[in-house]
Amino acid sequence: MENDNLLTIRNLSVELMTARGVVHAISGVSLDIYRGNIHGLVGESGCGKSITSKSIMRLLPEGRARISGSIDFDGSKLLALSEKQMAKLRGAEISMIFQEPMTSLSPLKTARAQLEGALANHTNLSRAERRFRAENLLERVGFPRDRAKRYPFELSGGMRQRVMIAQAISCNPKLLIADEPTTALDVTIQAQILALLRDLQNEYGMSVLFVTHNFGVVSQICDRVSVMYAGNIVETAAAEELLSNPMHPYTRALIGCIPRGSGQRDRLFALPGSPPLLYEIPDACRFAPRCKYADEQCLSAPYHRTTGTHTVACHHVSADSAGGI
Amino acid sequence: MKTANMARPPVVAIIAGALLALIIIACAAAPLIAPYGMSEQNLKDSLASPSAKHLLGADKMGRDLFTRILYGGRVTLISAVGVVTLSAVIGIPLGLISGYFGGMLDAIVSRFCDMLIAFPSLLLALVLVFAFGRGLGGAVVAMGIAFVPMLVRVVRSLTLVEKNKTYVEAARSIGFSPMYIIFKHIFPNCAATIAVQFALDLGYAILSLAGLSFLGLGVQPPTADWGAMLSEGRDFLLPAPWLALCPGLVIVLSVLCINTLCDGIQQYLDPAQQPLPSFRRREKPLEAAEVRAANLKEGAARGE
Repeated sequence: MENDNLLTIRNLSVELMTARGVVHAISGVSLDIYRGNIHGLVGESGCGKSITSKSIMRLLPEGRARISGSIDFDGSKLLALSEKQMAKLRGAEISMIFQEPMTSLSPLKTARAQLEGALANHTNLSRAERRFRAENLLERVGFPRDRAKRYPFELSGGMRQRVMIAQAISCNPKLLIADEPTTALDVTIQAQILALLRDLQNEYGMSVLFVTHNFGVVSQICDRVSVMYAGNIVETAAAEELLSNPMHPYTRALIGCIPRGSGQRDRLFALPGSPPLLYEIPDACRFAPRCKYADEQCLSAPYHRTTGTHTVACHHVSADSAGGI
Repeated sequence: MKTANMARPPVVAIIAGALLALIIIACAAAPLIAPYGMSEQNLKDSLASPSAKHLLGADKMGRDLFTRILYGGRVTLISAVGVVTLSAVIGIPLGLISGYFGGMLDAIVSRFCDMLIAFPSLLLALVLVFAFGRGLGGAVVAMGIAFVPMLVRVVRSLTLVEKNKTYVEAARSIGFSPMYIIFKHIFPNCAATIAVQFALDLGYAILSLAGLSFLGLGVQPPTADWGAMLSEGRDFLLPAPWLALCPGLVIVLSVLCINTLCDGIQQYLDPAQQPLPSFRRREKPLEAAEVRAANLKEGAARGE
């Protein structure tokens, strides 16, 4: 199984120095991303999804973030690499798409120039070859050819996100980290971008870490899913399995929050409260204060149990009672 | 106030730009326009008043003032550009790098700049002139260095804003090296503001160079320079006031034009300062009398 992993994260913890103290943004996160797989990472705002993806890219501010644990990417230990070696990996082996397409392109470069820059950085192509390749990439992501020389401010959010995607895949990366790439887009564009990402994943055979807070998106695109809560991964399973048989109370609550258009119209379920501020590491289960099943045993932190392909961290889920609480 | 500001067309800036262009062209074409040679003396005309023969009069040695202002402008303007260029060459990379990397490097650069800023720039230039030697070259280098700290500060703060934008993070995620990001991403995006600062500094440079020449540390005698001419004219303020007045006016006029032009450019580049198109006809601001009447009415209504 280990050999199938493109990315293996073990016991990753990130502490951030802030003006108000140390925040334990994520603690003890372990994650496996298989080759050629789309892995979803789901959770509320502020639960550590972006911190996880940024620590894979090593994009966190060096002085103010303390990272421990290990991240293995295709045989190299990312946390041990020098900044120079890491810069070589970024964009070439691992690349990233950001949430805000409106601001993640340099305002002074045309769509094509953005791609040419990325290609110039990682390849030895000649100028003409770069231009040719950039135009092909733009075409591949469904960007109209006649707008290749437009500046970002002249493009819509969806178009900019296409440029971002083209830039991210320009050097055939093995891993693409998509940090809520569709959050800022409207639903029709969202569907197009998702379809594009899935096609590209098939075509290039890359793995994708897909960060989102939207289970609808997860069901459309992901092969496996991990659910994060307050800096921990609480449940990991194949996407269909997780959606049809969620075990962790938090996952259930999240899925319960999705409005359904048909059937009986009940009051929309809302999970009360908000995730804890992580200024110190709690001993108890982090979800306990918001969990309707919480009891005395939740005063200790739950460990991960695995049944088949389903891993969950909850005292109330026993190994033999799959799905039963 | 706001309405007045918004209603103002860029006419002023255009006029300033045109005047500035006129000054620059006239100075550049000095050998063609000037009626006399730069140091051509005619002792009979010593301290002559403005007349058809000497448009702006003549100085102690009988040298034509108009001619010397044209030639002096070349020296003054070119050395001002030299000052600003030198400060930009040192200051811009320093500001970008210290802003982008932060940490120890930034602390050292910033404290060093604070130290230099603590001196008035003219005083600093004075000290540096003594180090580099009198004369135009020394003055330009000295002023150039004296201008560095302010520029570093401006560029650094622009970099701090820019480096936290997502596109910089995105550029890092593509694997660009820090130097590439600094000079190809951050710098072009700050360039508009830096250009305005550049032009503003140009005005200050003219004034400061004139100051240095006035003190006798810049341009040395036979060469014409606005500051040096002002200094020479000071000795004849009563018998021939135009000798000091004319170079002084040209200095004021060029600096004023540069600054006005800068303001105009800044307003043009900054969308927040531009009037928005509106369907509503702009209302005329209330006259002072109307305001007073309205206030009185309100006071009466409250029973005062």
